[in-house]
Amino acid sequence: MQALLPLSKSQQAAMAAVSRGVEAEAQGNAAGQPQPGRRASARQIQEQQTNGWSRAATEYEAALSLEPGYRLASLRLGRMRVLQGRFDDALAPLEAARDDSDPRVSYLALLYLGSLSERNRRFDDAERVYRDALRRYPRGQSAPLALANLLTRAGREAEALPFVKAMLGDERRVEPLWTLAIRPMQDVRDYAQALAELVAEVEESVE
Amino acid sequence: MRRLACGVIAAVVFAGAVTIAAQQRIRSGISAVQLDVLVTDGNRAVRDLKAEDFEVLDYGAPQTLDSVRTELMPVSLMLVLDTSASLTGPPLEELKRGALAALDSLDPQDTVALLTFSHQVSLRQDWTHRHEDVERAIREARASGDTSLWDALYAGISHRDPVRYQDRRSLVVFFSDGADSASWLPESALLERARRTDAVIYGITVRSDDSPAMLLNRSGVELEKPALFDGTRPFGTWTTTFERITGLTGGQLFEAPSRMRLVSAFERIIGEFRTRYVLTYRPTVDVAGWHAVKVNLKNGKGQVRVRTGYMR
Repeated sequence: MQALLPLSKSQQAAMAAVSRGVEAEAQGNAAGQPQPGRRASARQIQEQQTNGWSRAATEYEAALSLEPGYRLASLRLGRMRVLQGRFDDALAPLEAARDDSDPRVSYLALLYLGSLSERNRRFDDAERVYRDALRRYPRGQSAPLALANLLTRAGREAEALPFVKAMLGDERRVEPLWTLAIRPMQDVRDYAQALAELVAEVEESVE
Repeated sequence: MRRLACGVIAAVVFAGAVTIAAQQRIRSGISAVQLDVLVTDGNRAVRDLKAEDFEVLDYGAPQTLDSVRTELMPVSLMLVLDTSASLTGPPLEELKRGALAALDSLDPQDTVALLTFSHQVSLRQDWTHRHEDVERAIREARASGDTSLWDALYAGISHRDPVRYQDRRSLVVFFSDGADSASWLPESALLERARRTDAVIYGITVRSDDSPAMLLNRSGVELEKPALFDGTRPFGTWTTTFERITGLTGGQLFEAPSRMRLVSAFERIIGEFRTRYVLTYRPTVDVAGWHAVKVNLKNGKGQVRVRTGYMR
């Protein structure tokens, strides 16, 4: 494994922005969690979510202004836009992340893009994108489920079920990508290490 | 939702409802429908009904029953068990005892598969008659991670016993102690999947304050605010979803009083499932798509609960 180059100040600042975004995102995501003696109203939950996601999106945009090629920030911004219901605004950042060399990022970007296609009833596009996600990371859990669900919705259940069967039949299957990418505090802190592990993992799966 | 009282044991006790579950069976070229029916009166199962006692409506049209079976038929049981971090310690051991109790209630010809989930879905044991293999897999389960219930249940419903059509009934039993926090699939996908399955789905959860659904690691790809924030109640409470899933298939959701009182729920489900009738008919309306099903008792005694229908 080659030694990773030291990060520039701009890169470090971008990572710090993502880190702050992740904290804000987590606060928004955690809305509605049970708290002793307190029951939040639907409106309070919505406000907490909206506020957290909005602050997170702002941080991710800041990171991208510093490092336009920071695809992880693009992916996260795309997800925030999805959660905010700004689906059209989610497309560009997700498209930017779909061809990232890091298969974790491209895999999730493709999943989101597929879900947006489904939402827009472009089922052929969605199928193509989900299959692409599965190709990028064959050991993923979400892609075969997304594909199976799409095919079932289209009345192609016979084609759908083998994807579930294959997913369940692969004992080596892991989906570190999803958890890793949705917990970017860890991502940012251990990004180099995680990337090294991922490369090793992909190389192993190719072998 | 029925609440399990402390100390309820293996005896099948019914809470005064008549439950009827339907499951369709479509063989190549022959469109027979199989209804999986449970009838109760007060606290007991009613087992002496005949074909003339049932009125079955399919697509709004009355049906003529080909058969009403009450004898035991082999069961294909899919266990879908939450092994996320919240189960760590004694609760996991209680869950294992419950799953083992369900296993003990089966007959040798019954097949079983075991699927566990945290944020990852794992098929611990594929379909088998060898119950000792399932037992081993149950005992080896470990708790960790988040909760991908929707993904796991979707996979569990989809991964069907390959021999289930050979005079076999399909049962899915899931356990989760909390809200989904890590699935890719939204609950709407699971509900649609449940509509399409021929399995009866029972669920076990733990009594709670019915907190609003959390969004931790979920994709949120199909979250739609108008449906979530209706101003009247917190969105997407997980027990509500559990009830909808089980109700769609004619099953039920049981709520245990705590994570440490799960055994009786597993025993009760298997016992209840054993007491069902199996009605068979050929629908008079041969139309593709959703067929709403309704079943009544002609004598009018008791209530009738039936799955909402099936996809044809």
